[in-house]
Order: sequence, then C-alpha cells, then structure tokens
Amino acid sequence: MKINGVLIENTFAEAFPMKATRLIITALNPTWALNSAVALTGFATSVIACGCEAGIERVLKPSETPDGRPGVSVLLFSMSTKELTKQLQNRVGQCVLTSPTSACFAGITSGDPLPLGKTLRFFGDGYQIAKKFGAARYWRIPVMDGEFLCQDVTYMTKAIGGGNFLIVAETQGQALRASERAIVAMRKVPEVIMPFPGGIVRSGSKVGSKYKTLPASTNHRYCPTLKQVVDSALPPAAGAVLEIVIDGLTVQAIDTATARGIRAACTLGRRGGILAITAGNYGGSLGPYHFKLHEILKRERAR
Amino acid sequence: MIVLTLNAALDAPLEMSAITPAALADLRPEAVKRLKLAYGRRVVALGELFKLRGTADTSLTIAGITPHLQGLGAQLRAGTLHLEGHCGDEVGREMRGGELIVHGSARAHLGAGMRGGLLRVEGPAGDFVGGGIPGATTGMKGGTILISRHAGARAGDRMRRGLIANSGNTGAECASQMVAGTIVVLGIPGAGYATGMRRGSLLLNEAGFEAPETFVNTGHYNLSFIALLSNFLAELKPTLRSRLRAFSAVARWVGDRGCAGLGEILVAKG
Repeated sequence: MKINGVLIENTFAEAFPMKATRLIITALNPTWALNSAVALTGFATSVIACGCEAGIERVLKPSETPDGRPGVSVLLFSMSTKELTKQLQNRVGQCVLTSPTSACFAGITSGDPLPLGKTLRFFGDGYQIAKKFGAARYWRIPVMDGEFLCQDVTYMTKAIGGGNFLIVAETQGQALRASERAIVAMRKVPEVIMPFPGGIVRSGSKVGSKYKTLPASTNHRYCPTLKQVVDSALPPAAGAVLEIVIDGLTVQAIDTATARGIRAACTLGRRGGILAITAGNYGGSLGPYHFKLHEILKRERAR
Repeated sequence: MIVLTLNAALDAPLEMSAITPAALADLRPEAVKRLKLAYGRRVVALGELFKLRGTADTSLTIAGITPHLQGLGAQLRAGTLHLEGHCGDEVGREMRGGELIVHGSARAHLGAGMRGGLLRVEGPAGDFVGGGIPGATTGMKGGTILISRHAGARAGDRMRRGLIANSGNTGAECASQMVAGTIVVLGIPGAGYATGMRRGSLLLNEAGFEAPETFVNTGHYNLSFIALLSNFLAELKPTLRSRLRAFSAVARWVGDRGCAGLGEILVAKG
C-alpha cells in the first residue's frame, strides 16, 4: 500500500491493556487550567519509569465543564489500579490542588471508583466541607486563594496503551515535519493521548538490553546510524525515524487516531522525503491488541 | 401508571406506607384492590376505599388525598409516586430513592429521616421539613427536597446530609442545629435561622438577611461549588437557574460560634 508515494508497510502495532481515567481540570481562565494540566501530565511519557502515561486530551469550553469555567480534559493511563491510584493522588495533590483557582472533576462517570477528593480532603485539616448533589460528592478544601473544589472520586476504565506507528524519512527535519502534521491531526481525535514530548518519541525502545538491569533499550534496528552495523529494518535512504505512541480509551479511538496520523504524515509525500510508515511490535506474542496498518487505513477510508 | 383515587370520606387514619410503585408493579388490578390497609382499628381492602384505573408500572398516583392518609411514600426506594391533595404528616418518611411529587400541600415532618431520592412539593410544607423521625438524634441524611412555596418552622432541623431548596419563605429557625448538608432559601427566612448550626451551608438572598450575632463575616467569594449546585437544581427545576445566579458571588458568614460551629451562611451578592 502507498499513500502519496509513501510505502505503508503491511505490519501492525502491538498494544497492551491498561487502566485509565479522565480528569477535568478547570480554572478562572484557560491559561491557569492549562498550567495545571501541563503540570499534572508532566513526566508521564512512559510507564517504564514515570508510573503512568498522561496527556492533555483537549481544551474544554466553559459550557463543557461542570462548574462552567474554562477547562482541560486529561487522560491518565497505568498498568495497575494501585499505581493509577497512587499517581492520581500524587499528581492531583501536587499539581492541581496547588494551582491557583483550580478545581478537579471526574471526566468518566462509570466504572470502578478511584479516590480523588476522598483522600485529598485531609489537606483541609478538618475545615474541609463535603457537598453531595445527586449521586456526586464533592469536597471543598480551604486554600489560600479561596477553595479547592474536587470531586470525591473519579472512575477507572479499561484502556489500551502502546498503539504506535513509525515515520521513516530521509532526513531528521523531514521526519519531524511529518510527525508534527500527524500530531496536529491526531489531537482532534477524542479519547486518545500521545504521551511523549510534543506527542513524538525519537528513542523507540525494544524489550531488554545487554545490560541486565535495564528493562528496555534502544531499538537498534531502527537507528539510522547503525544501518550498516546491525540487522537494520531501515531502507538505505533512511536518515531519521520518529515514532508516535498512542494510548486510548477504546480500540476505535486508537484506530481513528492512527489512520488520521498516518494520512497527515503522508501529506508530505515521497517527494517530501517520507520513505515509509511502519509500526512497532514484538511479533504479536506479547500484546493482545494488534493494530494492523493496512486494515485500519481501509476501514477509516470506508467510514 | 396506576391511579388510585380516594372515593370515601375517612374518619380515621389510613396507613398507606405499603402502597408504593414497586409494591404494586407486579400486581394485576384485582390483586391491588385486594391489598389490605390498616384503617383506624380495622383492616380493609384497598378497593373499598379507592377507585383504581390504569395498569401497574414504575409510576403510581394517589389522588384525593386527605390528611387522614398516613405514611405516604414512607421508605420509598424506587419509581415515581404522585400525591394529589392535602397530605398529612411525615410524607416521604425515611425515603431512600425514587421520586415523590406532592401536587398540593404537606403538613409537618416532610421527608423526616430521608436518606435518598427526590421529594418535590408544589404547595406549602409544614414544620420540620427534612428533620428527624421521632426519637432520632439527626435529621435527613441524604436526598433532595424541593419546595415551591412556604416551608414551616425549623426546616432542616439537625439535618445531617442532603439538600433542601425552597423557592419561597421559611418559618422560624431554619437550619436549627444543622450538622451538614445544604439548604437554599430563595424567599425570606423566618427569625432565628442557623441557631446552633455546627456545619453545613445555608444559602440566603440578601433581602431579609440579618447577620446572626454568633456568626462572623469571612468576606466575599466566588465559590465554584455553587455552579454545581445551580446546575443540579436547574436540571430538576429550570426556573431556579436564574434565581440562583445571584449566588455567583456570596458573603460568607461562619458559625454558630456560640457552639463552636463551622457552618456557613452564604448570602447572595451577585
């Protein structure tokens, strides 16, 4: 398969089950909602060392938030309920509670509950106030700029992490330009995040290492500088490869994001230096979710 | 929906607590008519006192109500119960869920010991709305009560959780000894409100507000939770949205310091 002369390899991305939740962070104005969300989702690129993968899903209008203020929707993904709970408490406690004018709400309304204000309320030192409207309970915690309003619990859902595709280009600049185009298109898709800086990762990894203590190491088969040294997966003209990793709440969301990302990346075309699109997998034996590039692109076109 | 219309003049209390949408949901009309009710010292069949029409589902209407009917909506857990007429005491006593709508008035102890669900009263309500059942140390522990007109004295007495929203005036000593929860009074509150208040929130309009001596003013604020309250109430009764807009900014009074309380009176300033 080719799009704009760019080869789409007949391969698949291998992804894994994760646990996820969505938070809605609001503030007095969009700047402070974003400040809080950026802090919350910082250092959350990979579960390998960050505990969770997190990112901004989208910016919300005041009409879309529970308290009618500007907001940001963020998604957090982790491998276990325990770790997700821990990350949630640490990150909301240190990055949202601390952020001026902020409030924090559950962005998913069903599933297994995860404590949010339920544990953070103790910061109120006995001056916290509970409010229950219908089924939802909230905590008002007195802070120095007024009150931090936080929903009692958020809800956890089953999710998928590790959807991906790789952009193989002649030069670093071309790979980056194509990746940026892909990210712009993918950020319009709900229920997904691309957790790496700017949504793009340049250090794709493989499982294991020659060093026993490392669980992952550089994916040497996709490093252009090692082309003549190892069993390279790259064509001779390749000078740079960038990867886009996708975590999503549903298979459908990752499908859509992958298809839109690939099509956007291919708009530069073969003439723009883009050689191929491929995907990372472990032979299909580790992850239960296989995102087959050709099938996804055909399905998305049919829609 | 089944409609039960009282067609007899009652001269003694009639216990109605067993008549709920859920209890009637699986019964045929003949079986409903055969249900036994305690009427004064006697036991009578429902069909002797009520005219029945419709078929059972999750909704039930009891019409022609007089204050002789007791235990209406008691421990209601699901479904919708419409009450048409002038109800007696303790309507919705210890209600747990579902929706109870009083198309008329209710006497004292409306929603006493309520724990969940939604209770609407289109007419006036008597004293001790959302208070405790006799002998209980606390008032309502959950659920929502909406009153469209006047509520009597001591609304929300010893209230522990839940929400009472009154579009009209209240009698004396609203939120007396309140422990937690939220009370909204959009009309004029009677004297002595928030006496002995320990926790919880009482939202009042500026008109008719006179600061109790045992409350301290902590300043003016825009509190985010009021938007949530406003949204929640507006979903139940859309006309409340515009009336709650005044609470976008509030003066916050804390007390009752006479009993080291940390309750709050939020006075609309928006």
